[in-house]
Amino acid sequence: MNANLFYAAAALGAVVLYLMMEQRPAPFRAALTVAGLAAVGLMASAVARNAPAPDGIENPGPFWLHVLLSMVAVAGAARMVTHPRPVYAALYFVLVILAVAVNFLLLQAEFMAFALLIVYAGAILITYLFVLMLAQQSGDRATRGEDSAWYDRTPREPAVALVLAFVIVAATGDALFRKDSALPWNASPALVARAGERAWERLADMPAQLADEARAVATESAKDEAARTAIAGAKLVPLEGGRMLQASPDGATATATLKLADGTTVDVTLDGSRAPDNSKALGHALVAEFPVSLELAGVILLMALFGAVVLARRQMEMAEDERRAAAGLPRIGDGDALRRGGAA
Amino acid sequence: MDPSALVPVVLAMADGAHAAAGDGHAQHAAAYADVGALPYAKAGVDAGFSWLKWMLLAPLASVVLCGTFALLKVKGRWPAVFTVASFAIAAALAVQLYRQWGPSLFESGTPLAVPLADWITFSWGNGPFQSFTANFGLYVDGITLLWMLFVTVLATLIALYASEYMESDVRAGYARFFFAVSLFVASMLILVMSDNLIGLYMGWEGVGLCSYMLIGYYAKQVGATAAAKKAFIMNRIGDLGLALAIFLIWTNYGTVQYDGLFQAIASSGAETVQGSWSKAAIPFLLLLAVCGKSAQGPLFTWLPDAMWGPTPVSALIHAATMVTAGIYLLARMAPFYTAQAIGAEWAETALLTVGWIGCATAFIGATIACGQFDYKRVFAYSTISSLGYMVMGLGVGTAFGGVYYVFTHAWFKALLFLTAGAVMHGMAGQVDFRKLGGLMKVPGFRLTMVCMLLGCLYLATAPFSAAALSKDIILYQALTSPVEQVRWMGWLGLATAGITAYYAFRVWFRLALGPVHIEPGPDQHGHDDHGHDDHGHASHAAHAPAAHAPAAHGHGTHAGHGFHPHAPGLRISLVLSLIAVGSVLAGLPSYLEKSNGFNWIQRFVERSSAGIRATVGPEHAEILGRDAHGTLFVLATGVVVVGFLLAWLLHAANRGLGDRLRASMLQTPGLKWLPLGSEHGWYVDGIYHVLFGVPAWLGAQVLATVDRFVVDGVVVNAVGRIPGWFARVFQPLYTGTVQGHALSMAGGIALIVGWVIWWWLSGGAS
Amino acid sequence: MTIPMAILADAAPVTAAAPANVMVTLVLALALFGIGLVGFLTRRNMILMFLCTELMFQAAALAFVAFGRMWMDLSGQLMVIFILTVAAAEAALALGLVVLLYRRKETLSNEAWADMKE
Repeated sequence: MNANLFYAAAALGAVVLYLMMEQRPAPFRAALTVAGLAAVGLMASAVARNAPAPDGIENPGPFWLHVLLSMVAVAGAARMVTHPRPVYAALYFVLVILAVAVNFLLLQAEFMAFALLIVYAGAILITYLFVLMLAQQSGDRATRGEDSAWYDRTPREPAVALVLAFVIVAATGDALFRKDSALPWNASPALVARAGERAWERLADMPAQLADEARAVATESAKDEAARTAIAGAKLVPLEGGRMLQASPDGATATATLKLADGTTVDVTLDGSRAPDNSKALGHALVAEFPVSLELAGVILLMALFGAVVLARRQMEMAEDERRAAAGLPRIGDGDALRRGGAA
Repeated sequence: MDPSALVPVVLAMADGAHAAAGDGHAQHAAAYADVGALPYAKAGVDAGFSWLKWMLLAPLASVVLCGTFALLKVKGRWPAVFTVASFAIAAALAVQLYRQWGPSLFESGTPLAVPLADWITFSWGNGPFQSFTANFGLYVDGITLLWMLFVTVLATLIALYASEYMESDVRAGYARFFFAVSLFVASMLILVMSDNLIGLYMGWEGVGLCSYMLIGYYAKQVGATAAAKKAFIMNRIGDLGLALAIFLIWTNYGTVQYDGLFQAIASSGAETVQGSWSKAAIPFLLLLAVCGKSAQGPLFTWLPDAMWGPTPVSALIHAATMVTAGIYLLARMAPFYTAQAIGAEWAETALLTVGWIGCATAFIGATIACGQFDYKRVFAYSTISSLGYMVMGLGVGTAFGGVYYVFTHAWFKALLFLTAGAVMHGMAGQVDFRKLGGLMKVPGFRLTMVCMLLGCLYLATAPFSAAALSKDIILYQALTSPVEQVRWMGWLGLATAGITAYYAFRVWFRLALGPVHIEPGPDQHGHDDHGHDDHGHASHAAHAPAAHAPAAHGHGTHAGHGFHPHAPGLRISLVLSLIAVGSVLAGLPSYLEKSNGFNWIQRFVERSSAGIRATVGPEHAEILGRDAHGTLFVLATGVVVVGFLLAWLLHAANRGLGDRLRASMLQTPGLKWLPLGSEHGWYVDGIYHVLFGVPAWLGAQVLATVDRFVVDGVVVNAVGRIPGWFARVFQPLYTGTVQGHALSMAGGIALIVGWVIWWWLSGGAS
Repeated sequence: MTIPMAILADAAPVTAAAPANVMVTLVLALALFGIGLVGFLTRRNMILMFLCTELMFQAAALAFVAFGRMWMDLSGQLMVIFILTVAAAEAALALGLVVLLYRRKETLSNEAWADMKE
């Protein structure tokens, strides 16, 4: 697999990044930007050449959109890494997050896209911005009349860092482009079927939802109002083997059986649009397949909370309490005594 | 002894076992290389003789004791007592061994093997080349026994001599001296008595080490330390040859023990091994070792410089024992020079090489000795010359002649050095014989001069002397050889004998005869010094090459200030007399040959690994068309008489004639090189300095620069700075801010991610 | 121009996603993560540092949702819920601490707290 184009693109990107680290006059910067975007374009063309042809996929999706998003993301990241003013760097990071979120959308991870936006851009980055501005304010001495502090302007050993990064990126990219890797670039029908099966199983785990969907499908094909009413009161009947839903062999559809009040059964075929969407599926997976991890994540957050509280405490000497007592002042944090307005 | 009765003795020298020499040139190569059969008897192991280990342990005990004394800086004469006692014990044990076991050796010819202790023995397989054994054990055959005898006896006597000679050093280095001498004798005994080549190598190295320690004994003199280094380094070059020879011996024969080796060679079969270069290289490498240890061939220049050491050292080590280790090696390794080991052609080449090196060295040594004014150096060069004779003897095919000459030479050369030492000791270190004279008339020195006369007679191979009898065996073998080159060696050797006679008597006439003239050397302190034990820390600086006038000019006038020569004391005189007697007695084997029916020394050599060369050439050979024995006698005597007369003319009858002749030669441009070259040792030292010393110095400069700037500056300092550089890369991570830590984390993640995806997944773990 | 959304269509409960869309979303997540990492490592302002970590959280959430879309499983979105929870908790506490730190040193620069130097 010829990854030379990729290496060249990576090298070009490394050089561009290196040159961007120092402050440059505007035209130079413009040229560098163009060169950087060209590097991304080269990478994309490398991908286009080396990726296996889509096999049996009717709608491959907008490759150009992916490339555009990549350009935006890389440009934002590069600027974030090289900008001398920290707040701008954080804002460029927000741009990167946006691009990545759209990418998530294209990859059919809708929940994650918005979760990313909310958590990352909305919480983490805001925190960073607050701290940056906090630190900036009292640190005017550092800037000494310049726009930015010296330690923000000069990079530290850029050459070595770029070389190392190039090595890692190039090597991993080479692994990516191998033709003999076991990655299913073109998903086999078995894989598709299994994925579909899993999706239908999720639906089967949500009986109320399943019943609703089945009734909705049956209602669509109901002939008249009486049938609809009858279907509205129908219940799901387990199929042979105790399962509520039977997925088709290729995983594209599933069948369920409704039992009407008068005992007749209606076979309902659910198509792909009836499957749970991304958020529901994710929620179900979290609770059904990874409950322990969920709990642990909660524990981690709790720990973070504790840590933050500890860190935010005021540091004081151990003996201060005694001193305050000796002076007749109430202990720190003793609100009652304060309200009483007098000694402890 | 009636001189005329000796003639038949001389003529009957070869009446011992005859050689089954081939006749005619068709077989001359084989005959030359292989005299007779190869009777290597297997050694008989007898642990009953393990008391022989005391021969080694006694000198070693003396080493430890003297060493302790030296370390603790104890003053006193005890080290000498230990040493002399231990050597006497060793000598007694050697004599005991001869009496107890000698007869059985001569009967059966079986060498004695005495296992003492295990040392190196391991094997990694069952095949013949898969084990290595080198233990502490003794292997005693004829030549071992002979060496044991004369080494221990001479060592005892010389140690006694040294105890008085070194008295001026009782304060300082006495213990150190005897420590080194004891260690030397222990090593020499290990060398001759060990039963494997590794033990021999150990002894070889040990004597080399002790020689270094003793030459550099007067460590405060630059000349002495330089000479010691030179001796050691040249010895080392020889040691390289020995080491390589041992390696090749092991790879070819699979064992380093004599017994196994000789059996292996003997059983190689009649078909000789042709063309195997590694086997053929062994004798040449051994020859290199001999050149190093015995100062032959290109490696002789260390021996004259070794005269920087004290005279007893020169006597013991550089005349009688250490330098004969080379001859011992040649005799011990004689089986490797045979056709059976390496093929007739290689054997002949090896033997000819040995012979020529010995002959050339003898001649060159003699010519240089003619030009020296330092009588100790004259004797040093005479040692080189004599050793050349011995090597030549082994090269021309008579181990008997070589070993016999070793035996007689040890005695008379030790005698010569000891008398020279006595003169030096008495004349406050004066070594230039131009500044001395008429010592026969000086009271107290007559005995010394008589002994020196005896020594010079022997050196000059006066007829009927022991030396002559032994050297003539060598000349006889050479002159009657069927190989023409060997005959040329013989003629050259004969001429050298004449030169030897000349320079020997040159020294004696100048020292002993003429008006009494004594210019003391630089060793004395104070005018009314009676030369007693206040010689102080000896500074025998007058040993500087006597080419230039010694720096003792200033002291020359002390003769008029009442300098009294220090006559040799009791111990020195006793030792001199004993060794003089011993020199005479060294000829007994030949004197008694007629009545005994055999030559005692020859018997030793026959029952040894050099047995194949124990006999002398054909009995009825011819020299110049006449009977060999008679002709040789006439020629040898004539040459000696000519030399004697020449010396008489130039130095005794008219004392200044020799010097004036030399001066006139120096004036004549054509002849100037003769005395100058001879005096400077034919500039061999200079040649070596240019060939080896200068390039080595240049190389050293280059390497030093490289070391300082490249290795130190670039490599070491850069390496030192690397951790710093490395650290600075990572320093920003440790500033303490959160992002520093985060950077490390991110870095780690990047590494892991990159590694996993780019390496592990794409190839590593699939 | 139609914006096809499942809640409006007569389709299966879930439909397969086009590969290119999912992939480009993943790439976007990767890019945002990288930029967030760079920002975290280079900014000296304490609050902005935390903001960049929030950006990294965003990228992770986007990746989760994209993968969930690919596998047609709701678990991806569930994870994002928890991510949001934790991010909120952490933001609250972090900002509380930053305010306390700010009160000590009167500056938002994190170099003021570099006491653990090597």
